Amino acid sequence: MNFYLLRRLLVSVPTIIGITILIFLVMRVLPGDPVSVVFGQESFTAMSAADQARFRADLGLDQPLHVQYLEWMAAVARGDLGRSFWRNDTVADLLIRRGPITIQIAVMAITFSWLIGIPIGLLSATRRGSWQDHVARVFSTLFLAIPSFWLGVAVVLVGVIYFSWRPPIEVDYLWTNPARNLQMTIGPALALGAGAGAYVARITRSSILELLHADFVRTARSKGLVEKRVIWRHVFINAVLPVVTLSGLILAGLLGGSVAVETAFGVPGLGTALVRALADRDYMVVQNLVLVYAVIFTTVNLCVDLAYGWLDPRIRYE
Amino acid sequence: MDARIRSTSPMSSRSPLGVSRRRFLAVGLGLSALSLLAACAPAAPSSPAKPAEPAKPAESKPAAPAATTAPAAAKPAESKPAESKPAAPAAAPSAELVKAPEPNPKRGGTIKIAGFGDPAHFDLDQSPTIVNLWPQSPMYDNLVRFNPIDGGRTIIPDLAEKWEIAPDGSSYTFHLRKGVKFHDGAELTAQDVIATYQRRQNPPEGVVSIRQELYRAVKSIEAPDPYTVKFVMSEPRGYFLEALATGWSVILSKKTLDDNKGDLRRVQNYPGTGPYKYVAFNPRDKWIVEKNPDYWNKEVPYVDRIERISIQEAKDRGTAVLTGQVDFADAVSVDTYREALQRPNEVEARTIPVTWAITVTFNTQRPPFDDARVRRAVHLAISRQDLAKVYELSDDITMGTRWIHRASPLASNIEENLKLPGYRADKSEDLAEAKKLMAAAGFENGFKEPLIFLQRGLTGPGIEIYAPAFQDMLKRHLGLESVIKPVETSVYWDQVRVGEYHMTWGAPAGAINDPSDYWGQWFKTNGPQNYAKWSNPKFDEILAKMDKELDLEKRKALAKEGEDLLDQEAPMFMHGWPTVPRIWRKHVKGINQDIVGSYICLRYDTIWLDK
Repeated sequence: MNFYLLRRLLVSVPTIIGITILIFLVMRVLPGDPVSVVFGQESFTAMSAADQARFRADLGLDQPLHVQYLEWMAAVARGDLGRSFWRNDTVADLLIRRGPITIQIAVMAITFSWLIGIPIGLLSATRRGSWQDHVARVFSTLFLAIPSFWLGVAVVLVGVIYFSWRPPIEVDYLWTNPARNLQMTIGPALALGAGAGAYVARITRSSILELLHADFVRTARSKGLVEKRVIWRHVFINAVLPVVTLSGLILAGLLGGSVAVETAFGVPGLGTALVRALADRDYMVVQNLVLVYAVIFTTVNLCVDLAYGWLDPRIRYE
Repeated sequence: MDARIRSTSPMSSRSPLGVSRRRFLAVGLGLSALSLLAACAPAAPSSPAKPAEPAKPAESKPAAPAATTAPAAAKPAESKPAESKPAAPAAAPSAELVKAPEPNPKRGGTIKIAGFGDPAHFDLDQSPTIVNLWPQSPMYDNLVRFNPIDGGRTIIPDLAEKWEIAPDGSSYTFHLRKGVKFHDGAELTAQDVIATYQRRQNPPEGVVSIRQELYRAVKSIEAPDPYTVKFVMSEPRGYFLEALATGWSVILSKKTLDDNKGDLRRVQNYPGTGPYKYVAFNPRDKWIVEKNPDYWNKEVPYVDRIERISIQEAKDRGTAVLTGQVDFADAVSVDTYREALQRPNEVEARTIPVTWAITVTFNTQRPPFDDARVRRAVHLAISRQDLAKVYELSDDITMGTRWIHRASPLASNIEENLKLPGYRADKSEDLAEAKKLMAAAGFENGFKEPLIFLQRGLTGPGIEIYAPAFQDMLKRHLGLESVIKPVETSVYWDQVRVGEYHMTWGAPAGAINDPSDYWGQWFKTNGPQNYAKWSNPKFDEILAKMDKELDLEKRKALAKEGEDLLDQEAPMFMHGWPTVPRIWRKHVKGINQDIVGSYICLRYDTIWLDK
């Protein structure tokens, strides 16, 4: 187990380095001048070529590419995630301010997706062909089809028009003001959780249906076990593996932030920050956020793999 | 210019009250979906403002204008000028201090204002955007200022308690208040004013002074004593006092400038003398200032604290006011503005004129727009009225404003303008004339290749609605094919600079309402924002005369000559000068919302909360 963990961690390193090289090069290849965005049209067009060059040098963009990359990596190794090209505020500060909200929404959304998706999938599979199955399938298809941001916009607009309410516009953390924090996060979490729950319901249903006809299930039934026990002890526990895999992927995606849902609810999360930094050609913010996402994605996937062994005793890590 | 957004008019023929909630919800969902898609694009600057019926400053009756003021430098266009007189005041006695117009204003409390995104840096002189100006203004004072009580229609004393202007406009002498303290405790002296304006006029290496042109005619700045500042002009400037009064012209501390080698981009709390002091700026969160207890005007400010919360999306700014989470918001979305109009017991709403214009700039160095006849044909053929309807999905845009901001005393009469070719609603004669011009220019059957219609931003109304409508009119009326080329902001300015376009949508801004400022930037040969690369010696001559003319009537005549020439030459398609929607909770008092520009009346010193 320890050897497996070590091996996985070692394999992750070149993956993450590859991602850093990729994002570094992509940002340099993309057309667009960060200085023009930082200064705005009037200032940028009034600036002499020499001034523009000086500002690029201030941002470290006059160095050869390999030097820029190595300086970035050296800073990361020192725990310095760099500064925004804009006000010189740090990426670490951005993560500290926005990260908790994004993580909280992601965890809440994945919890909602389980609470919604697993019971519905289970019900749908064990009562295949019944009206409950049809209703469940209609709703899961519906929530797969409806974009999460649309749900978010609908919730906000209905709240404003009919109840003069909208999620808090100012950020509060769970540890500073839990009530306001939940008002802010529950909407995005439900909007994201509904979509993810639809996926979970469908994967749960198909997984259970496949197992219901497996040999070991037939054996369990022939031994005279009651159906409830067959489902819970023999089918469900085995059917949950694909759900864990799917949930891991969804969670990793959500931890990067959802631009659309964050925008719909006006929640200042990491997703919006990344997209805006990309448009502004704020290289250091983009590079370091992508690096953080890469680490998160790798870590979550590793955790999912480790969870397999815990859920299924047949799986052993060598 | 960030945070330009569409707006609508409370005075429009289609009453906003006629919009049902069901319809509002449906339209709102659609618009919001669009705005979400826009989130994947660069920040909002390209979102155009849709002006409404012109604000009617002439009808405004401020409750209690500050007592003695200089004559109006920003008189509304509609107001009838007095007899021919100097555009700038010859002298101004000291005035009563500014105070809230209502009797017995309440003191205390925190006002929450919906802000926009965050600034790229903090140096006001190097910034073109309200993202800097609006949150930073409460911390600073000017020499003179626009009167917040009459909506900016007069210029009143600020740090200068009185001033004299030489009759020939050759000098301006300002007498500073004594005992005024910067927030770091240092006393304001003439040296601070000199350092401020010297940097503005001749910035040190590596610093860009965006509004430098406004001070080009200043020959020297002198300090006869520690509390007197004299601007000696190389030639008169009819707009000089207005330039000193705009919100951009804040007075900085010499020490601050020296300590930072004249570059304040990375200095977020440089001290001012204003009614509020810096407390904190948290990027992407909020900007907090609090009452300056040592402010020289002991009457104001009334509120203890201003929290300007960073809210990127226009609809979120609107819903934040509607739900009482903030007290005041500018540039809200059209749907939330309309909802505000339906809640007169809770909130108030109106549109405010801004100091930028909706335009399509032609590349006059590249065929076919190197031919003035083709540009004139577009000027005539495009229906401003139809374009406005399509663009804003409703109502009118700022119809009838020509090349001068509506609040400038030099602006031509809107009703008369709407009878002119190109501006009038009936296009039959204009289209016939446009076709003749195209034929004369050799483009009877259109141009040999599709024209490049460069767009800043990948999404938003500018790209999704305005450009296609413009494109369609060009094709239908003039046979000109075009392709819309959207690019991100980081790419856009390079392409404009090298001329990689035939035409481009934009919202160029002036610093003041006087055309000497923005004509010099947009149309003068080699002007800093002359993206059309247009050059016309006759226009340059008119502008030079207008710059130094002090007589208002003579300036008006020159301005008309300039406008007529621009109508003929049309270096850009001028759609109009827009407004943006503002909404606020009813308990917000002490400010005249009927203002005449976007760079004035920003200090919130007279604002108070009736709760």
